[in-house]
Amino acid sequence: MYYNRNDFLFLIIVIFLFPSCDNTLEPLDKNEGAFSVYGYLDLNHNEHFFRVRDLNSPFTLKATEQIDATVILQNRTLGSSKILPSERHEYKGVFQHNFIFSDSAYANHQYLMTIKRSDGTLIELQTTTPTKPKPVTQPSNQNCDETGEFILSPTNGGTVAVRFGLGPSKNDPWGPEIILYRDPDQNYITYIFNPRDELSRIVPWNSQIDCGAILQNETFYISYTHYAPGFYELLFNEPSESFRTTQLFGALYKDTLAVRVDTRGS
Amino acid sequence: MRNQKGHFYQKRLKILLLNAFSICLFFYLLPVFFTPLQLVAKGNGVIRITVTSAVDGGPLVGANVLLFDYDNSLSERQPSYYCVTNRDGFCEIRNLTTGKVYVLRITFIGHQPYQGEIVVNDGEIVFQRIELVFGSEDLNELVVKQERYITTGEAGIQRISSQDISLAPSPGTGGDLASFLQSIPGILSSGDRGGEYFIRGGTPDQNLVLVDGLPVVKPFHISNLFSAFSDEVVEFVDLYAGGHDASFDGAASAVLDIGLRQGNMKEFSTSVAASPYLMSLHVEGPIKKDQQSLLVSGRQSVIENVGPYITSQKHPIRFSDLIARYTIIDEAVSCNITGIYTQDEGEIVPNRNLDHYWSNSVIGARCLGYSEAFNNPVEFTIGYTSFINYESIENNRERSNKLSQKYFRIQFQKIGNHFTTKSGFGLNFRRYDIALSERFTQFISVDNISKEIPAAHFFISTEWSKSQKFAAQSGISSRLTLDHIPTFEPRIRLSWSLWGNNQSILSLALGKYTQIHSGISNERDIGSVFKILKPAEPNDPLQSSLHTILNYDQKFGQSFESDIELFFKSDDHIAVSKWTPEARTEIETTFATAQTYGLDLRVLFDKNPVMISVGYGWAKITYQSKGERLGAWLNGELFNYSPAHDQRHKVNVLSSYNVFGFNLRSNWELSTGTPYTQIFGFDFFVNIPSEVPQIDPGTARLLYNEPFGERLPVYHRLDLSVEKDLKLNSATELWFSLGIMNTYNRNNVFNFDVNTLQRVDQTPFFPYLVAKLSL
Repeated sequence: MYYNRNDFLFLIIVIFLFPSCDNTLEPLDKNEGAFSVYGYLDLNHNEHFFRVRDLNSPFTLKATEQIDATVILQNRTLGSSKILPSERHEYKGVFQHNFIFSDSAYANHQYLMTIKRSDGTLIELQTTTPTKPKPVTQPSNQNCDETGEFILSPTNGGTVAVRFGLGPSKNDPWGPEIILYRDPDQNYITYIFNPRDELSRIVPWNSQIDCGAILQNETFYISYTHYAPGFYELLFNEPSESFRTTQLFGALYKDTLAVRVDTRGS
Repeated sequence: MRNQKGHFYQKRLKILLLNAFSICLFFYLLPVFFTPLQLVAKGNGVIRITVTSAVDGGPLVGANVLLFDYDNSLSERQPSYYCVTNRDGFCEIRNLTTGKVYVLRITFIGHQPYQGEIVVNDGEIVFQRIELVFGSEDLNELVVKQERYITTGEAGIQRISSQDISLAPSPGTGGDLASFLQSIPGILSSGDRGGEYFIRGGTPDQNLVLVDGLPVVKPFHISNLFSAFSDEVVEFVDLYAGGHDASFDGAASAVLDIGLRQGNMKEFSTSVAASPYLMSLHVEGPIKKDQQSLLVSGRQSVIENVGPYITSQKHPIRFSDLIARYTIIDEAVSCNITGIYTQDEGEIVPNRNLDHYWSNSVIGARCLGYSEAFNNPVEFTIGYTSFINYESIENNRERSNKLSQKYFRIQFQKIGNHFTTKSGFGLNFRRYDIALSERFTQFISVDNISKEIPAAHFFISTEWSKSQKFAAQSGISSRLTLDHIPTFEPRIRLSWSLWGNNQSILSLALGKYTQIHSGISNERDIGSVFKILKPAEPNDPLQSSLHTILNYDQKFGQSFESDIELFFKSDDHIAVSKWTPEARTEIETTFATAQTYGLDLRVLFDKNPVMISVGYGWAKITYQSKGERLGAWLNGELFNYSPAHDQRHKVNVLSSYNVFGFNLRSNWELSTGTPYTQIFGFDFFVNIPSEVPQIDPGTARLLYNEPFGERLPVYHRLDLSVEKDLKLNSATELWFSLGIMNTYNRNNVFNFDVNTLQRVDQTPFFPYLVAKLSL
């Protein structure tokens, strides 16, 4: 059996070709979701923190020492914008970066957060702050068995979470949270309540609700959180895919309302 | 709603009718097996033959036993009767004309033929134990086939001998079944670690491994180069890559039916061997010459200590196995008592700090009775087998799974001239124990379980072969448990020798297969092989599979054989992990259906001194489930995806060349990558508004992308070895093997560490020297 030079050449090419076959593995999807963002504009504060993280950086100190991100917050209603400064904290061997907006946020304004990486990768998140209307409860000084109404108008689509409580602080007894979605046909949120029924939810262990004995100063409290349109759903609805669960940017404010009740005869 | 309800009742009625039919059919056919077979009764003479090797007294499986009329010249080569020896070297011919002189001729490949005269008297059962002497056979000898379903080249079946197992280069102390299996198209292993084998789309829990008839759950070692079965202990392996006959129960995908060698009946022999992977000790010999023997073989891994010197990498794995087989053969019965113990532990992904452990303990006996007391040969198997599997972190056992089985089975066989019938029943008392630490029980859809499931299995199978041209085998398998309605599993095999000379065989296998338990694992985490074997809930549908296999086998002369096989499998109620964006330690499961189809091609050239086997496999596996069941990313609609074992292409070239007393072996494999799930990102989740970024650090979490969206790179590897036997003196032999695994040092990816993204590769360039001393 005779072999010529070409046969050997072919053999050598084959032997060197196989090891050089493409062998790359890309375990991390770098094309999608460059940054995660957690934070919100609080209409009652003038300092707002946003946690921004490079999703491609593993959980090591070295990989997280710097973040290649420029964060700009733009008030599109006013046409102003600001590059946010950042601070970093170390937590369990990983640096975390917070970007700070030190100014008031305006109600019913459109804000755009832009996060840029030096290679041009860009993430834009938008929110419209809640309208922050003056809350209304009616009638005033109602009877404990009299039906009352809590109204926020206009809301422009923002969801409201309401709780009834016996005192203004966190440590006072509070009832369960009630979520008030906007009626699609109306631009306000209303909640009809009966003080006695609400009290039975705050102190469910009391079989008989004596409004006069339970309510100090004949007052109960409505605590509510008013979210930017779509923000509540973003936070609390079951996440369906990875990317959405990392883009938690929005706006809200919290307030508490004291409601007087005429407890005579109850 | 009403339609749905109606459909439900129709389905239930259909199931009930099917099962009623199967039970009726079973009881209708039952008397057939308990009455003498009179289908072609020319007489009532019976001969029962056991054929053994004169070298070691071991059974010769597949020997041709031919009976010629004394008056006919043998040159006419038309036997009046014939049979082929089974795994015990036994076969039986019935309905012989009594008082007539026959010429008995027995042939077996590599052995000198036996020839003698035989007369059977009225009502007599003649026993003969024939020893064949090693030597060259007559190549023009007539070859007959019976029990076609154990013949390589028929739909779904491959018979693997211990010589075949020796073909693949192995850094062990000889060939190993695990190395050889990886050279077969259609079989996928989980890289080079983990002991997981996927056969034609089936998952490891859908495979049944039987050793001398005893079930063993996972006899494959943590290094995928090794199983508990070296070429020293294996007599044969029947690989049913689907389409297995009715005698097998509880395997929705494939069956590996392993027959161990019996110990040498003539003389004692011992061997000790050492390789960089393991050390072995093998002892066998007669307890009573030609009647009783014992074989004991044990292996212990050393790779953890030796490996770092060769590859400069950690090899944090340990494994060992011990196999013992006691055999007794006399004129009435052939029995073996088999004991197996295997143990594996270590890290699948080094430095991940996640330890795996699994162990098998098996003890059992199998007997074939063929004395005059039995009108027909009877085979029974009894045993106990236990499998334990757990995963631990820093020596704390996090989750464990145990399956123990007490097992009894009896099988009858009736052989006619053209009609062979098998029937049998078995009892299997399974006990499932699943223990999960608290953090796994919070969201998992499996609770801690301790449950006993008794199951009875019945089967009946009939093979009809009117001529050498055509054979048909049909059977029904049925399983009865307290939790489920009886199963009805019809199975059919057809084989057609196109020109009547066994050179061209077309065969078909169809069947339905169910099994009691499902294997639940985190499919997205290839670094974990922990699997929960969870029995189906009472009245829940069982995991089931429909197989269709079509095979065409063409031989060209004595040396060249080609084989093409098309297969389709349809599975229902497979347990799969739910999809969540977050990487979780717990597993939630749902059910999916699966369709697998593909083809396997094999070409073999075998003419001393050269053997070349080329295999190519193509397959497509698609799982389907409702999006709402699978979880994240999806809503409502049916969703198709390719699971982690969907390997599309696999090419394998195995060769052997004998030259100047050296044996050169090579094995090259190329396969396309399997699907894996990309990491979407590393994140600290801040649960706003209850947590706030300025104070709360958040919770570290790893986010997955859409499952199985990417494929691993192409895998290829070349293994080479050169072997030589040196006879030191008349009783001492030294065998050595010098070889290289991954000759051109291809960086084949095994996995990546999800926390650091560090890539984990399979075995790099690995030179080895193995030496075995036989006394």
